[in-house]
Amino acid sequence: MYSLTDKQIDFILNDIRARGVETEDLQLNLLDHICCIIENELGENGDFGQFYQRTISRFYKKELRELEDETQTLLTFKHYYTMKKIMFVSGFFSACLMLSGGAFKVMHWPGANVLFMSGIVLFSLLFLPVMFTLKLKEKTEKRDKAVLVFGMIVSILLLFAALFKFMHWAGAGAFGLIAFGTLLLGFLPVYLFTGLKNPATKVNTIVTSILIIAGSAFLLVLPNRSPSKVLSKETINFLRNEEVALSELREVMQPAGTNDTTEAFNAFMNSADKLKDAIIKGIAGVDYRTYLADDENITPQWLTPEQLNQFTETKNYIDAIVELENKTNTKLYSIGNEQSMDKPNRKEELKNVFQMQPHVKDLMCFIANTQTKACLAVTPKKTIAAK
Amino acid sequence: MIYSSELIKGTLKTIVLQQLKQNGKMYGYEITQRVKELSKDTIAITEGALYPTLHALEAEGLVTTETEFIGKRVRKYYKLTKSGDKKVLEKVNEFSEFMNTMKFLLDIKPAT
Repeated sequence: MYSLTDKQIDFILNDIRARGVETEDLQLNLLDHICCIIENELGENGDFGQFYQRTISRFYKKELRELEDETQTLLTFKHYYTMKKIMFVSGFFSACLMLSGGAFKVMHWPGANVLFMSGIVLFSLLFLPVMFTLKLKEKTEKRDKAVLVFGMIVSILLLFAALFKFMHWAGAGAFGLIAFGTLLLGFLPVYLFTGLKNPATKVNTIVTSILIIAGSAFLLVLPNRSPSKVLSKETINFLRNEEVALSELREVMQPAGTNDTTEAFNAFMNSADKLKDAIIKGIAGVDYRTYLADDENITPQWLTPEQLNQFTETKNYIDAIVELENKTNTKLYSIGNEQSMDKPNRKEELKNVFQMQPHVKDLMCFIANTQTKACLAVTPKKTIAAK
Repeated sequence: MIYSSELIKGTLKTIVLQQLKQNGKMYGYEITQRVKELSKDTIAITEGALYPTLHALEAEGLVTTETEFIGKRVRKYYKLTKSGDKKVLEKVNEFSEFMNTMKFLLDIKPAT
């Protein structure tokens, strides 16, 4: 019976810790076990140091860490079923959110962005990590694990690139480039290289790689289809026609009525012009006149309702139109069911109009239309009849 | 002769559970010593296999632990839970059937 000193016990515990055993439970278990072995198997005058080294090496194949690792694996197994549940639920929900976000966007309904964004966030921050963690358990080779982690990072990058594109945030193009670059030039070679080594996964790897390349091709081409040159020209021609008609009308019509009305009319026409300028500046970077005069087809991007609502010109326009409607007691626009002339309602309606018509052509048309109606509203009817 | 580890691997949980059933509460070193004695030195449970197994059994709810302080050391005693108790019977029977099947498959004549 060897009797251990406190110092030796401390030494053993520290050595266990130093060799990579982090779980306190396991540390204490091993400590007690080793002490028992030493006490029972080492003679009274035996060499502690030597015997300890021999004893501890019985516990593992390569290093003591193996026990820690194995214990950790077995413990996380406990969470396996909960994780699987989380994965399924979060995956399903985020897919639904993204899908409805896309549908709302197509229908130009409000809230599309929130839905889509929450879908993407849930998907990439909950579903993907959980899925990859579970898959990680299946892989044994360190290299396979590394490839898997790389794959997860690339997927998250791609998703965020899609998000940027969807929300029309600045840098969407750059982000997309980085994401796809990493996928095709970074991940794909690594994936192929590791997959081809193992004859069992060879076919799978090749097929998946082909799918990745094809999928990337589609993803890169489809959303980036700029409105064709024909469509752009169509828009410009349309808007030109609208402006020609409007300016002709303005020349012919003379606003009559009280000074108040004339003031409101001028203020309104002014605000409408300014808004049109702001919109065109927002999408094409030039003012309205330049845009119409340019034959070079400045390709417009989308203007989101959020961006539109940020212009002060939008607010001024809405205020001016309501003011003029009150002064002339006419409606300068109508949308479907007849609404009351109540000021607050009118403003809300207008805001909704801007929510639902982000396409430049429709927007500009709408504004031009209200300008036309305004001209008609302030001109006594007989002037038109006389012409 | 010590049996190869391949033979031992699938049976360790059953062995541990059965030992705990027969002896109430035991600590790690005790388990390895008992098994060594009973098997006449042919089955040597390595500590590398024992502790992960004990932790797994604890996670599955088949054993619980009791801690005793011995000077600077902390000794953990393991004992069966109710479900562990039930499980032992299951596993022992399973293994017994398995042995019969193997005897049949490998055409082992009963020892005379």
